[in-house]
Amino acid sequence: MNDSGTGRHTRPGDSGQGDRRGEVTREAVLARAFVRLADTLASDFDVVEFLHGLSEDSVEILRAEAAGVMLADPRGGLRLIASSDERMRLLELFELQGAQGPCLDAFSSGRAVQAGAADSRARWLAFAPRACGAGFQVMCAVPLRVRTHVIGALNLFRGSDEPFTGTEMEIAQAMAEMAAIGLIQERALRERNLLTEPLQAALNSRVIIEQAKGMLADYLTMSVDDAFTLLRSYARNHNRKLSEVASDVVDRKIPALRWPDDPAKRDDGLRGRLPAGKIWTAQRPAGSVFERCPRETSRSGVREPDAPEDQCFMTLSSRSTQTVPGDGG
Amino acid sequence: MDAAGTDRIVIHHATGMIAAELDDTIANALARLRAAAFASERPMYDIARDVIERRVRFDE
Repeated sequence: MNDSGTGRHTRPGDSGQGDRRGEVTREAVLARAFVRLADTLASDFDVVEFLHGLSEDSVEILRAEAAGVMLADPRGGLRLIASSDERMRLLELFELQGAQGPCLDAFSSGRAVQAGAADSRARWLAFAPRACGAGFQVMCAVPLRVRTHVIGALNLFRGSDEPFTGTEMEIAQAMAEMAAIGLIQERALRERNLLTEPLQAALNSRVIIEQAKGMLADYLTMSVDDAFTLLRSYARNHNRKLSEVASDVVDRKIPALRWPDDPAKRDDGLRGRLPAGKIWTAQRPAGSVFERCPRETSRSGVREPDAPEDQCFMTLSSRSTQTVPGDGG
Repeated sequence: MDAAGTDRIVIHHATGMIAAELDDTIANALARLRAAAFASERPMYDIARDVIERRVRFDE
């Protein structure tokens, strides 16, 4: 490992070293990003989409390879809300599972954190080798903070061993704070409630989005990642919220035929057994397969089909803590 | 630290996929996943992984 990126680079006021030509466009991109980050009061605001935007903008502006955003849930635990790609998502999940890593440090300390490969190995015994294994050398995290309230953290990873400069860390922090302010304003306006409330809503809509990704992945025989890309572009093209589109997918209100079938995205190697062109029916057939064994349903406490979606989520969460190994609590 | 969320995403993906396979509701898909875990005495997470990696189907 190269040791040049092992220090912590959190000092402010570093002048932006490096390419001047790149600076101009970066400024323009940054300005656009700030406008987006401020735009949380629109009626079609969607928190998951918003934080995905933050992760993608920060990757572009800060020349990172991947980014992810975590928010605190009402019980104070961190949850992954958005990540710029699948590799990052897995890594962040690992960070949460192992309860160590830059995001958690930034969240608990309320300060920016940065480490290069060697430094990170000393700080995060389990997490750092995993990150390096995924091809990341430099990792940093900044808190999503409004004054003293820390509501989450933004994680940025770089594949090269070039550390984030002081200016870049400042920009990352500014973007994270902007996002945090936006989230809290949006909530204050809408709910006038405690700090953690909309985060719960975000977490719930996240569940539906994940389920919709799975459904699309199956219908269209593609990876979950590609299904998400499709879902997002559909929402954008139709000028709709991501979470609404996801819930329409789950409720079968959007037939599969409406999805653009991009052969390049299809991964037939995933499953050769699926008959081509499986049609997404708008209504589900009467007498579902599962109705044959209703006792199993009631015994395991699964919600009735017309109960709200979040109950299903709660049932699952309380159950999965018993059945999934390595949960640790 | 609530780490359960890490496994849940996999379970949500699998639930969606099973719902698509069975042309059934999310709730029933989730119940099927749990039933499969219960019947095979394996963690739900493992079954969910099998579903996502297309090793297991529920519609046959």
